[in-house]
Parts: sequence; C-alpha cells; structure tokens
Amino acid sequence: MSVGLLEISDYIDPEDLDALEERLHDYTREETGLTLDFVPLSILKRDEDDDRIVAGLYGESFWNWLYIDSLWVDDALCGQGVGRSLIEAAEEEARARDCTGVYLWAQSFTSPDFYAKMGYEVFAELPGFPVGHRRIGFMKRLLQTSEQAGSR
Amino acid sequence: MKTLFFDIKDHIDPEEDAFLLKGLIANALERSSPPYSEQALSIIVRDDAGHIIAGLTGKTFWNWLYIDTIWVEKEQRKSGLGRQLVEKAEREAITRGCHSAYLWTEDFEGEGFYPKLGYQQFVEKADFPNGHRRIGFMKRIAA
Repeated sequence: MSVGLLEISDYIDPEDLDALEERLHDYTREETGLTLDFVPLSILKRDEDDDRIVAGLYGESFWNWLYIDSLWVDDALCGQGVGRSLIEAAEEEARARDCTGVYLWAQSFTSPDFYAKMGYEVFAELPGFPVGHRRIGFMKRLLQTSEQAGSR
Repeated sequence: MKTLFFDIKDHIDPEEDAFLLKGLIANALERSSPPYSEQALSIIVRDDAGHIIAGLTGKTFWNWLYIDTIWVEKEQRKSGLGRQLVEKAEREAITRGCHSAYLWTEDFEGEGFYPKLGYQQFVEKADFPNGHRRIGFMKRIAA
C-alpha cells in the first residue's frame, strides 16, 4: 500500500476532523471499552434589565473531569465575586456530572491568584507562553461529600 | 448590585461563545498582553483512493503548538507515520514563530510514543478517566 502525500494546511476541514475523532473513539473503545462522553457546559450571567451577557464561563466535561475553557466577567462587575460564583456553579455542576476534578489554563498576565484563592493548585507552568509570559495549569480535586461516599 | 439571571445549560451557543471570547480577549489586551491570534493546523495522509490513513490536527497560538488529535491507521502503525506527522507539525509550528509544543495523551495511547520524540511529561492526572491516567507532554522545538 502506498502512502499518499502529507497534506498540510492552516484550515481544519470539519469532515477530516470528524473522521479522525471517530477513529480515535473507535481506538479508545477497542483498547479500554471507554466511550468519550463530552458534555459542554455554559454558564452565563445576564443583566436583569437588558438581558445582556455580563459574565460567563464555558467548558466541557469528559471522562470524570471538567475542563473550564473560558471565564469572563465584564469590567464593571469585577471585584464583586461574580467570577467566584461562576466557578462555584461550575464545580457544583461538575459534581452533578460525577466529575472527580476540574482543570483549566490561566495566563500569568490574567489573574492566577484568583484560582489559588479558590483552592486550585498549579499542575504546570509552561514558559514563554506567549514569549515573556507563562501559561499556568490549575486543577482542583472535588471532594466527595460523606453522603455521596456513603451511597456508593 | 442588581440581581443577575443565571443561565446554565449543556450546549454552547456559538454566538455567545464569540461574545465571551471577544470580552476575554479585550480584557487580556487591556492588561497589555501580546495580541492573541490562533491558527489551525491540519496534516492529513491519504491513500491512493483518497481515504484518510493518518492525520494530525491542532493549532498554534502565543508561540506554542498544541496538538489536539493524532491518529494512524492500525496497518500503518510502527511505520514511522506518527513520527512524521509530529515532526511535520513541529516544523510548521517553527515557521509560525513557535518555540515549544504541548499535548495531552492517555496511558492507553501515546505514553510510550512521545518520549521517543523528545517530549517531556509535565503532569500526570490520576483517575482521568477513572482507572486511567491522562498525561501532559511538552517539548522545546526551537531555540
């Protein structure tokens, strides 16, 4: 069997991506019996008066972990605990989805202290990401409540 | 402070996504970070009939390459195709101004493969999924 040329592109054809992901899922199923169970999560806060989005978090849960992709709070609401309430709501939802942990990436120029205060620990610091800054990985294991532990 | 509606759901509206991302980027820019732009990367290998026999997708952003998916057809494994894909991606990333690469893999996937290509483990997460380990690998690809 001859191997075709490598097609390199700065565009990911959705059909190609679907095909690759499907084959990866098949591989995973064959190796482990596991299926990928991505469930997106979106938490939005809207203004009472004009329904405008003033804060939001989105991410996805899979394989017993929640990944927080983005968290954003309107400047006008900064310092009022909105970010904290979004993270707490995400953690609550993660528990409901049987997740054992939450992880996310932050940047050295955003607010890494915020996640430390929320009980997150650094799992990685990638240097020069972007040049002159660091990308910081944070994770938190969600403790089971005694009630949950008792019921299992 | 006004009461805010709370909207929690299991799907992501692309419009809301774009809105959030825009706000996030604007905030980041205000904090005098370098401008954010990401570029997708796709490397697909096909046989004569046009079927995909291997492929890699990912993106480059902020001087790093992130490898998202990589797959090689069973019959082609151990043929060096996986290595070629990663090396090709690294070379492309260097031309895009990247100095490093990172990716996630599982204990049942590429745990043994990436160290052979010079990747170093930066984290290992237990119970991800339950009974398995998820491993983060990184590599410096340019000076």
